[in-house]
Amino acid sequence: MKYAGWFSDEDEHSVEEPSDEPREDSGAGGYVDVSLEHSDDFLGGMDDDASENSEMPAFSQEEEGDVEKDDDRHQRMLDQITGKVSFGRDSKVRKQALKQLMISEAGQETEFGLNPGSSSTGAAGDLTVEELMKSLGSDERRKLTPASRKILEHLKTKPAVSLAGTEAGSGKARKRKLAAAGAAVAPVAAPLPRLIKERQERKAGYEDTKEEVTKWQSIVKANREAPTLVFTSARGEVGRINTTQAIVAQHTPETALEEEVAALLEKAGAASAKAVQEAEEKLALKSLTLEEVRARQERLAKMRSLLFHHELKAKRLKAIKSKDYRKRMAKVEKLHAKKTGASIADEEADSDAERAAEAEAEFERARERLTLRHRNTSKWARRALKRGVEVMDAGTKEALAEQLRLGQSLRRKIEGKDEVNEDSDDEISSSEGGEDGTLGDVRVKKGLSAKAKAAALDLITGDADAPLPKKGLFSLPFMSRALQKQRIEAQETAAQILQEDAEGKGFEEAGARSRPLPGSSVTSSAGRMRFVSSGAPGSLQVPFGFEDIEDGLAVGDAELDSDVDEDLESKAERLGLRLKVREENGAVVGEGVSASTKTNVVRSAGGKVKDGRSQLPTLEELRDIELALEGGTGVSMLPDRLSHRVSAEAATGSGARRVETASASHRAHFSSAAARSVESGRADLFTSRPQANASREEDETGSKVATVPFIPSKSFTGSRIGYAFKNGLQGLGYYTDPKPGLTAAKPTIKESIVPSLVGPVAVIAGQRSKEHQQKRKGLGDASLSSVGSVKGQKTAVTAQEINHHAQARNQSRNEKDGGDDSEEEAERVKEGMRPIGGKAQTQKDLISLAFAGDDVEAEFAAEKAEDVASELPKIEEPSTLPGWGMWSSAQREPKWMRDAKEKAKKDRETAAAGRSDAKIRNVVISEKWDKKAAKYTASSLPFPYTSKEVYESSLRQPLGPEYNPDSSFRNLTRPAVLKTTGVVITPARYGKNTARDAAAGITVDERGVARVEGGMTVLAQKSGKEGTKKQQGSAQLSRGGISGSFSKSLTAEKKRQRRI
Amino acid sequence: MSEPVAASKASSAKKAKKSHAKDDKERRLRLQRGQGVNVKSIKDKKLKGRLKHVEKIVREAQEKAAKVSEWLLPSDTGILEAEGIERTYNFKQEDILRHVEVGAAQKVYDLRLPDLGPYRVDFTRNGRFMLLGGRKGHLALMDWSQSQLVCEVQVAETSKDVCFLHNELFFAAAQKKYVYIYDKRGVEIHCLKDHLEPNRLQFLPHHFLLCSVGDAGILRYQDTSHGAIVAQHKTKLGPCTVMKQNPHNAVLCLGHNNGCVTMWTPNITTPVVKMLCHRGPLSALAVNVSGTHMVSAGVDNQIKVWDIRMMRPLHAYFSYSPAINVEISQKGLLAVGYGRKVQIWQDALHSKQQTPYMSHSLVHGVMEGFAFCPYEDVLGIGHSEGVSTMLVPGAGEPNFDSFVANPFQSRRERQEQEVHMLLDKLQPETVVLDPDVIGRVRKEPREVQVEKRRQEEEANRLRRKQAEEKNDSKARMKGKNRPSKRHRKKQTNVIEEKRPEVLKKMRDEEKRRQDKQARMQKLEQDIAIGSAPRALSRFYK
Repeated sequence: MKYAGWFSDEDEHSVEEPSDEPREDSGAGGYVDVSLEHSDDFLGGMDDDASENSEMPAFSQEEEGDVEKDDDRHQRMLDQITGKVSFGRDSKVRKQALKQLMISEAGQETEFGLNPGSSSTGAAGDLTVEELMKSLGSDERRKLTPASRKILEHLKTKPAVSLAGTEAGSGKARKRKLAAAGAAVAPVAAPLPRLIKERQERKAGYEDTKEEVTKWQSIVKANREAPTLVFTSARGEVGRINTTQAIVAQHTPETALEEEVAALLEKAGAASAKAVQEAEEKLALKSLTLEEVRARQERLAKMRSLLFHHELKAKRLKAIKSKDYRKRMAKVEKLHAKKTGASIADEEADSDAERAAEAEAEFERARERLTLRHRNTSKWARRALKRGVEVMDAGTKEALAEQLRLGQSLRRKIEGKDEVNEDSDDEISSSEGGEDGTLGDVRVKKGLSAKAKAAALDLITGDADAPLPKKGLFSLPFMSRALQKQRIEAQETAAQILQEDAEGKGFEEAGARSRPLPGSSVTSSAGRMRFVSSGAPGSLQVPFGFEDIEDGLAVGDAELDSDVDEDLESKAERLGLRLKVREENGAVVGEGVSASTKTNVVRSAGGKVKDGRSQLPTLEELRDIELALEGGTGVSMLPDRLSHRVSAEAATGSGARRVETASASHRAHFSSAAARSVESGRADLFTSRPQANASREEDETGSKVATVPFIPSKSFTGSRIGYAFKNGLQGLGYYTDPKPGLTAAKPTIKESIVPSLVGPVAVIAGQRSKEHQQKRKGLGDASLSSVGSVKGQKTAVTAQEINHHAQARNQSRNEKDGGDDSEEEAERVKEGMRPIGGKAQTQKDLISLAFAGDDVEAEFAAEKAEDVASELPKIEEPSTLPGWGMWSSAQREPKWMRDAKEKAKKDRETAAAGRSDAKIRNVVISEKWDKKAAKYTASSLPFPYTSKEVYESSLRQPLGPEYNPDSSFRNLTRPAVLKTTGVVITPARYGKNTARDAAAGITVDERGVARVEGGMTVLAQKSGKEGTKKQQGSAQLSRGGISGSFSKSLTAEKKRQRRI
Repeated sequence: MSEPVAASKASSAKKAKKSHAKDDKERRLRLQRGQGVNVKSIKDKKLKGRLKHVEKIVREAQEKAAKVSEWLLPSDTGILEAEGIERTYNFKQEDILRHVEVGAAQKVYDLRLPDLGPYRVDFTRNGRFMLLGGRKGHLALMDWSQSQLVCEVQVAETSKDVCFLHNELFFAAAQKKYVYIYDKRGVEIHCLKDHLEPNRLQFLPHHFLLCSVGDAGILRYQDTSHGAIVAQHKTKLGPCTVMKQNPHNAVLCLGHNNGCVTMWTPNITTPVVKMLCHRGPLSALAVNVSGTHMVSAGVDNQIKVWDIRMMRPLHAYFSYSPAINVEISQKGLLAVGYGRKVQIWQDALHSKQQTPYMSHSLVHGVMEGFAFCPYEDVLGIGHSEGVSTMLVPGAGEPNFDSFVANPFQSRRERQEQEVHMLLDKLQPETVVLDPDVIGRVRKEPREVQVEKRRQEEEANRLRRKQAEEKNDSKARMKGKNRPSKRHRKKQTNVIEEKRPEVLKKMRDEEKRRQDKQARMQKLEQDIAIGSAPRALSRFYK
């Protein structure tokens, strides 16, 4: 064989290139490939090639004869190498080939020096692996690894092993083959066009991705469909920094400054607390001997252990929940304290008082600072000053002066000058506490100083007569009234002080002279209409305070006080304090118990006797009755004004009694107060101011009976009639009450509750009312005699009148109703409402007859038409003015206009017929567009909904906890994603089981919650064992709560058992 | 005489038990709120899934509620039962008292307050407290079942009506000139000067609205949570003394002297419903709890029952004298009062009854106003001689819901409830005739749509104008044709708006030019004429 043949082959190949042969084929002999896999293909390819070559001669026989020869020779050589003799189908060619073989291969020369002719196969020129193997020595053969030996043996069994090149196979395979063969470089196929290549790549990528994505599908679907996803992963990993130590531990210096500081600390060995401690210890140990160090360490260890045990003990004791134990411990402690601190107690008491005083002082100071009354900086003061002093009236000047005085005294105090003039300062500070800004009440403790006396006298003599300002703010009627009142009050106090001072000095004249109007009882009677329970209006005035709200005035002191009383009393009552009544009071009042109340009480008692019903709740009532009889709390009854009056007068009686027992020091004052009480009478007291003045004048002429305006008392000792317990001008105690009705009214309702006396009472009602009257009268007389005034009688008379009146009223009503007690039984049904029909029809007729005059229905129909017309949609309608736009001869509407009008009319009619009230008589239902309510309705369907019905029926169930069971409420309102703050949602991980569960639809529990943990959906809880579940052959899973509550799993277990 | 079975919770045990299954089904039916969503018809998969889930929960909720109510709502209403020829209306109160338990018997008593009456009565929503309002100014608040007085005030002027606000802590009184609000200590804390000469008061608990109507016939709504006047409507129908609220929809029903009943909401200044009920002034009105029936009484001696969903009369009763007051209990018993008598009618709303259920006459006094106590079988009657109570078996709802009203609530619970009530407070605008409409789709009338569109356009125009103004300030010659500029121009639609102006200007310019030309020609001509000899000037024309 010549090398040239190889080359010629190359040439031939290059010639043949442009031919129509497929590329794969054209490279047939181009290279030698040792391909074991594709040997069949290869052979097939060989066959084809050969046949083609044999059919080719017509094309190139003559011109390229030697070329062909070469070609043949080459082919043969190849055949020899591959060991397969494959000649063309043509026998001639075969023969020729054989001949050629015989001739050309003279020497048996191969690379390996083998004789292919002597092969066992018998086929000349065939190189087999077996033969190649033979060339190996037995030793070498043994050296072969078992794997390689196996391969070789395998090759041996194969009928044909070719070492020839291959034509088939993809580019990739080809490359591989090339590499395997280590063959010479073969021509590389031109790459595919980019478009196609990319398309192919995309296609492959798509397949790959599709596969990847599809496996997630079930999980994603399940997660999307789950109403709620709960991310539970990494909950424990959420860092919680609660302490400063934790923050410090996490801190790493970042800024330059921080770094610098850290470096410095490090340098100083104070980077951490531990380091500091160590350093300190080191320092301490430096100066100690070894024994000392040891002792110190031991001491420390002991302390540490003691502390630890103590801590443990404290913890244990703290955990004890027994109340009994606590109680005992408290007792022990108390005892201990008593033992040790008996002496300390006294000091404490002292210190308590001191502390209280301090607190008081502090409070005063605070108030002073708040109000800043000692400065002229308030808005009012500034304005007054700005306006100028000359314009100022006396009152304003005085007020400003007062402020200045206060300021001065304070300054003096601060400067430490107060020791010099302590008394006067005391006065001033005490007057600060008072409510009135203009005239502080001057109070003297032990004997009056000359200055104070003079001031008091001044007040009494001078100021009262001073003319009231005619101009400015203080000339307003209510201001002047208040001013006057204040003056009078001041006078009164002054007089009182003088009196007290002049006890035994014969100062009575001054006191008598200065007897003024009592502040508490002075009120004007202008205001609202009042009700008097008497039948003769105007004969009596209601002895009540009033609230002059319309005027927006400052309400009289009396009223304020009464409010306070009420509060105190109600408080006392609320606290359950039984109102105790003093014996003496009771004795006096017993006579003058209010008529109505007593009758009430008697009535209730009587009712009980007559009823003879023991099961009724009597205990409370009896107590009340007792109280009432004592004349204490239950004396008066709020609604019964008369009772107030009577009882009030009774109170004055008691007051009179008290006068005798009262101390001599108060006598003069009592007499003065008494003078105004009875003479003027309550009616007068509550009339308007001129009248009050008149009464004062009357007082001055002389008086007989007295009442005490104030009884000092440290604590509330039960209610007194006509008095109110309060903290007033004269300190804590009982003051005369201007509004006895309110204070004494409390227990009325309780009193007047009469347990059901329905039947029997009805029968005896008439009798009792008579008794009632008599009793009233009698009692009235009694009270009369006790008080010795004409008033009582009058009241009794009015009471009678009222009774008569009420009866008459009742009777008249009864007559109107057509009811008589005896007939009632029979007429019970007849009298009331009864169905219309039959006989009632005539009644209906009667009524229509009676109301024949006014045709209500027609009126209403007209109204309705009007309303409807106003609510109809506006429909445009052409209109013309007669005579305009047309010839005078043709004064007719054009046709289009007529048509339009008709159409409009028809539209209007249809609109009217479409109204909801169109077919209902006598009813107009407004169809106005409710603009305000419109914001609570949807103007169009919200997004995912496409049908109104579905939307509206989805709204039908309210979501609130009031309308749903608790669990349903929570299920209905659970948010779509639940996640603890700080929890990191990790990316989803794929798990085959997860995917399977998701596909089965069991990752979502019955509440609609899917738990996602570490990015992976997990089943909430699986009940029972896997084995039993499989036995059941059902995918029955109990999906409990997130916490997997025990009870739930239990119930699931039970259910399962039942099913089995 | 046989023993009447009185209303008491204990007596329910005697009743034969029905089968549970049937009860359950009944309850579930009662709890159902209309048909469920037809899920099959929905195309949207997401919505379908969601609605399916919700429907499932709702169904479960109903089942659960039905099951729970078996245990939580054990009590049935009691009833008077007569045997043989007996009639329940013949039973007197003392007969009933003899057979009821001691606790129930204690609830009946007379309060003799003869001097400041006649009294009107109101109960708190939980039935625990009673408010008495004497005509002559006596106001008293009491824990009525314990016979405990909480506070008492004498306001010393006419008080025409009283009512509780949201709980027992506050109550309002319609006094001579104004409405006043008092706290539970009886301290006056507000004087509502807007409410002039009030006659009747009503409090809408869910909206915190105090409503009054008076001699001027002006209906006023005042919010008691923030104090503002919410609405004032002139009825234009003269003085009004009859007002009741419809507890179902908080619509106020007023009875007028011309025989009309008008219904009002704060939203609309005209009545939402006006119906002619009687041939004479109205004397009383009542609406039942579910808002289905209304009972009206007129001075024409008629008592009519109305279906106020359809606004149609159902049936009418006749009385010998005009009814003073009409009330409907929680369980639908109708109480009618005349003079000294009270009649209680059972089932009178649904069908026409022939005889009353109970009949009672006062021992003393003439009736003024009465009220059924919620959650109790008690009717509180205010009259001229004080206040009385009577037992009406089967009047009150036997089972209370502590979310709504708890007769046994503690102080803490009351505070809690107050806060919740305020949080759940409904806006006054939500008062509408049909409360179910809220949240639903309502088609706006054409005028409203047109108006809305107009407003939108107006807003757009304004915005454009503003943008344009903003642009003008930045107008520069350089870079006129920048993309941003062009974009801005497009936004502001400058061309569209300026074009007519520009065109007009151009036209004007053109005209002026032409005019000028013409003038010049004429001038030239004139000059030519002028330069020509006078004799020839007639040839120039």
